[in-house]
Amino acid sequence: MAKSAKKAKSKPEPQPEATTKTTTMNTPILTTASLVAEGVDGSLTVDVTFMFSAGIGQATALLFRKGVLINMQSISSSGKIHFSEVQSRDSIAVNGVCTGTADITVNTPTIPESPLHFDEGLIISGFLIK
Amino acid sequence: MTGKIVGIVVVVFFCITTRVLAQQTPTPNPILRADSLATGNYKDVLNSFFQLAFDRLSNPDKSIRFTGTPFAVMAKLDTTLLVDTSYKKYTALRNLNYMFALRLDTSFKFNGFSSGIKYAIINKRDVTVSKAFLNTVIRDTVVKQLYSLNANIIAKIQTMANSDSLQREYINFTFGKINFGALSLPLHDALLAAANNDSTRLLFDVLKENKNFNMKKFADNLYKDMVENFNNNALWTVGVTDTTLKNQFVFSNVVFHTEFLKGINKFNKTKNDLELDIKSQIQLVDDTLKAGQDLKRAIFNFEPGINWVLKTRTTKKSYLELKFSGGYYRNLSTLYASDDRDRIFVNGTVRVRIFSDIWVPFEVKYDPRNGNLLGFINVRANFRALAGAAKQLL
Repeated sequence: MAKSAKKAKSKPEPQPEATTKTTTMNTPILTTASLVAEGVDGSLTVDVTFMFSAGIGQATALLFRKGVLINMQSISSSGKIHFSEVQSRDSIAVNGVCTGTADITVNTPTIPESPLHFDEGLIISGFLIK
Repeated sequence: MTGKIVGIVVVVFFCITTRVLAQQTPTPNPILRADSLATGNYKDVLNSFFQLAFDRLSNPDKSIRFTGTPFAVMAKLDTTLLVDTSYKKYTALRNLNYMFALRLDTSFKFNGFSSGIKYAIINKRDVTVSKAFLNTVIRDTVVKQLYSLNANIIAKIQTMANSDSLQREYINFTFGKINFGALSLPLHDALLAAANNDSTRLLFDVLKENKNFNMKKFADNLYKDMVENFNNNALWTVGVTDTTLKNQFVFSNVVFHTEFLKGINKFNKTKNDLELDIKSQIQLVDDTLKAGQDLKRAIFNFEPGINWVLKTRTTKKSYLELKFSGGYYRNLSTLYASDDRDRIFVNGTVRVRIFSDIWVPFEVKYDPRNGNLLGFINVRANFRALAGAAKQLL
């Protein structure tokens, strides 16, 4: 009985070590300098405007920099999503659905040029900031 | 004879003009695709926009009927009502139908006037305002995989050489302009690599085996299947219709009616649908044996039926509908010598779609007791009036 109590006490010990390892491994990749939106020359605030008509819709816009997700916002009716500190060569992926039509406009030059028009159905698209 | 010729000419003219009007739009209007997936029977029960009908062509008592919704007219005049924030507020108005009809005799001369209103107490088929439908779509496993693939590849392209041209090419792919097999090698390989993970396993398998994979068609088919299932939901309407006399504004007939529709093979992967259609009405008519005008003769009618909808394989539009129903009539008023208290009919309706928006329903009623067979032929044209209005918003 006493032996099993000792065993039970000693088991949780490796866990903090594993947690520390994971954090240490991830920290270099997720530094604020490399990934998080920061105020550098040429940074801009980008508005992605959604207009749903003849029906409802919802969409999620995901902002990527150097292949890594740095911001994600959703909208469930016509309106704007604001991304601050966006840089040239960032990408915005757009996933959504509309039961009427949807028009998506980005207020900065993009590839492809906005607005993009979507008929009833799934919205699967994206923009590369010039 | 002259009347029949005039009738045929009018119907041919009606079909041609409607077809010509429809062709003025260069591409099929995609805005109301959910509406075009609806069955002809459903459009006869509750119309989303406008419908022009030519009823009982082969009978002495014909009518030209116009059905519409107040919202269709309002949206034509003010296109900002179509923006979702306003559109949702007018759901009740879209569930209301009004109707005007001119009744014509054998010589196509005016023989009275009809009007009516109908309201959908339960309308679980209006896909355009259903949050539940949106949730069904975005929670679908395959839709999630498409979203995940889109995010993965957008993130990948920005890190690749020639990202500008690859981005354009990928967007053309998402709009269905290029098939998977026709993509440039870097994008082709990047898409396969982006799909090669557990969250997009199904798409990876599809892409690997199908060079002709078209993302737009694939996404559209997924969505159409979900709309089709949604169109099996319940619809219950109530309404009142009246008819005036030929030469004075006095009601000769008032009908209180209700109708219930519901698909009975929801979520089945069958090509064809079965729809339960139950109608009931009380008709108040003039007792012609008494002097003056009254509405003292009351006839109750109950008509349960099944509508069998045959659909095309790819577009999922119904092209032929066969409805079988039984009709029970009970005379609730004083019986006269030639009257029956109860009558039973066996009804059949064949509804053929001759053009995208034009249906020709042919109705047959059979009275098994007396051996009487009655046939009616009608023409229905559904106008999708908000097409142009929605485009004006752009």
